[in-house]
Order: sequence, then structure tokens, then C-alpha cells
Amino acid sequence: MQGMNRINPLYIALFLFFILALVIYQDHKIAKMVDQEQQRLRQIQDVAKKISTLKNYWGDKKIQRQRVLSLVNSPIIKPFIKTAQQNRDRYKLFLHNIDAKNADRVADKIFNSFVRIGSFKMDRQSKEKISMEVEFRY
Amino acid sequence: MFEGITPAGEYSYYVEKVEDEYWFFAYNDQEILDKLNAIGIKPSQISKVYPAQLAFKDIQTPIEAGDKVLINDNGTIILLPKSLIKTDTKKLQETKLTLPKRSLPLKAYSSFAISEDLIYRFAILVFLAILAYAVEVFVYKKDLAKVVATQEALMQKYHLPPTSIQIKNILAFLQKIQKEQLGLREKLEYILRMPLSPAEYITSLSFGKKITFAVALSDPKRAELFKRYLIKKLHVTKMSVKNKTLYVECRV
Repeated sequence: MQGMNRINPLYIALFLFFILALVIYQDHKIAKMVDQEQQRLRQIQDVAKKISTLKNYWGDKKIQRQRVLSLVNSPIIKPFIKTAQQNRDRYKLFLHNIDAKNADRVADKIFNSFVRIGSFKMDRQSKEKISMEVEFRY
Repeated sequence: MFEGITPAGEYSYYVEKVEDEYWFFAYNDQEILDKLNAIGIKPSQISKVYPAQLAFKDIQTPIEAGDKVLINDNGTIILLPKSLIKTDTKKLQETKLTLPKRSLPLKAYSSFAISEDLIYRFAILVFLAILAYAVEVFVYKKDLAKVVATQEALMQKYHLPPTSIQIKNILAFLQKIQKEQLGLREKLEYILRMPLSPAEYITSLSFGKKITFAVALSDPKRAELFKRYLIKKLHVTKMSVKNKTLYVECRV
């Protein structure tokens, strides 16, 4: 027996048990956080892909402008261009003297492209010829 | 073995091999603790307890123990009153004791009905469990940092704003555009697929804030047929027939 006070081993065990409880709590807490963040990561991946796709289709001004210019310069549309007006975020195209057969092709070309159409107008100039007005938005 | 020798009480038993002999001990844990307590020693202050028979088995000179003396009588350690011993004695502090390797497994914490050794074993197990969990926490922290870094890289790559509300707003905005644009195309296609006869044709068509179009009819009575067709998919707000021409106005 020594003169010094010995710590009751039960206290040591209880202290260690308390530390264990604390570490287990931390473990569960951080495991839950990892799970939540992984779930968030999956959500971000999913949303990022959706946004990227939608941006590519409709949202990217630069791509929209390129697509409109490509449409305007396509051999189906170019021969019928009467005039065009453009500003920073719009492009208005006036087409005329389109025959019935080509009118279908022109409309198909425009409406099957991923371009944002603000307005569209089609009129019969005569029994044979059709005119069109299309406003593209960037 | 001890039946009839020891007073009534609850005893623990202990055996120690000394040279070629086996020494058997019967001891009352509670009595030892009570005695220690009586002289002001708490159980928590006790490191180990040894039988005097083992601890003092090699003494030659009697040893003073308070007002008593411990003597070795042919291998048996006896505690006698000091007045009975006439020979020289040594003080306990002056005696160099060779303590046995093992101590009495005293039930110092009998209220818990577990031995000190068991507590230490349990404590070691708990400590190992702490270590294992700590390692796991460390691994989880690394995983967390990795996941967060991947998130940030992804957000940078796709130029996403930091908050999920902002991300949702962007997605909602783009989805709205897509819905509008695809809806517009769907409605146009529906109008262009009207069941026109060879003599009938669309004279004008306009999409903007609203949809308006005119159809040259072969017979004004056919307007009813077109009405039934159009209201299936379009929200028709106005419809009239003038000079064999059907005028229609719909909501976008």
C-alpha cells in the first residue's frame, strides 16, 4: 500500500465508458453527415446534368445565337429571307414568297430546332405564296 | 478444508505454491475492508493486499506493527502483543519485504459484485472500442471532406450557385422555358394537323401572347367539326365564321 491516493478503477472504467459513449455519438453523427452529404452530392449531380442539358437546349445565349444564325443561313431558309432585325437578345426574321411545299420544310426546320421562339406569324400573300415572321430570343 | 476452523462469515479462498507446498488461505473480504476503514484507509487507496503469511515468510527478526509484533515461528507468522517479545525488533519501515507475485483478489468493490481485474479488463475493452470508433470517425471525416470537395468541384464545373434555393430557381426557370417552347410546338403541330379537306387551307397563323389563325372552309358547316377537334387540346377563347373563313383565337 502506497501513501498516495489511488483512483478507483471503477471511476476509470466509467470515465472510459463515458468517452466511448461520446466517440460513438460522434461516429454516428459524422456517419449521418457523410450520408447526407453523399445524398446531396447525388442530388447535385442529378440537377447539374439536368441544368447542363436544359442550358444547352434553351439557356445558353451564345449557343442560341449560333443556332439562329445557322438556321438563317441554312439553304432551306436563306432563299426566302426578305429582311432581318436583330438586337442584343432578339432576332426577327421576315420570310416571303415561300411556296406551300417549302413552307412546310421551313416551318419544320424552325420548329424542330432548339431555338427559343418568341413569336411566329404566317400569312398567305397570294394563293401560291406564303410569308412568315419569326422572332427568336436568346 | 476450513470448515469448523474459521468463524461464521463469507470467505474467499486463495492458494499459493511455496516451494513444494501449497498454502491455502481463507479470508473475509468485508472484514479486511472494515478493518482498513477503521484506520482511515478507503478501498480506493488500496493498491494490493497480501497475506502476512506470504509477505513476511522470510523475516528472521520480529517486526513491530503498532503495539504488536510479527514473529516468524518456524515458518508461521504470528501477531503477538509487544510485551511478550523480549528480543530485538525491527520497525516495519526498516524491513525490506519481498512481496509475492500475486496479491489477494480482494473484492474491494463488492457492492458492484465485480473484481478489480474484471474492471481493468472491461476498461481495456472499452479503450480498444474507443480506439476503433476513433479510427472510424477519422475515416468518416476524410470521406466527408472528399464528398464536400467533389460537390464543390461539380458546382464549379457546372457554374452552379452556392445555395440549393438558387439552384432550384435556375432549374425551374429552364424547365419553364422548355415547357413553353415544347408546348408551343405541340399546339402548332395540332393546328397544322387539322382534318382539312383538299379545298381547305390555313390563311393565317400567329403565335405570340395568344394564338390566332384563320382557315378557309369549303363549307361553313364544317366549322363545328373543327371546333370539336380544337377544343380537345387547345383553350379556344374566340371562334367565328365570316365569308367561309373560320377565325380562331386560343390561349397560349
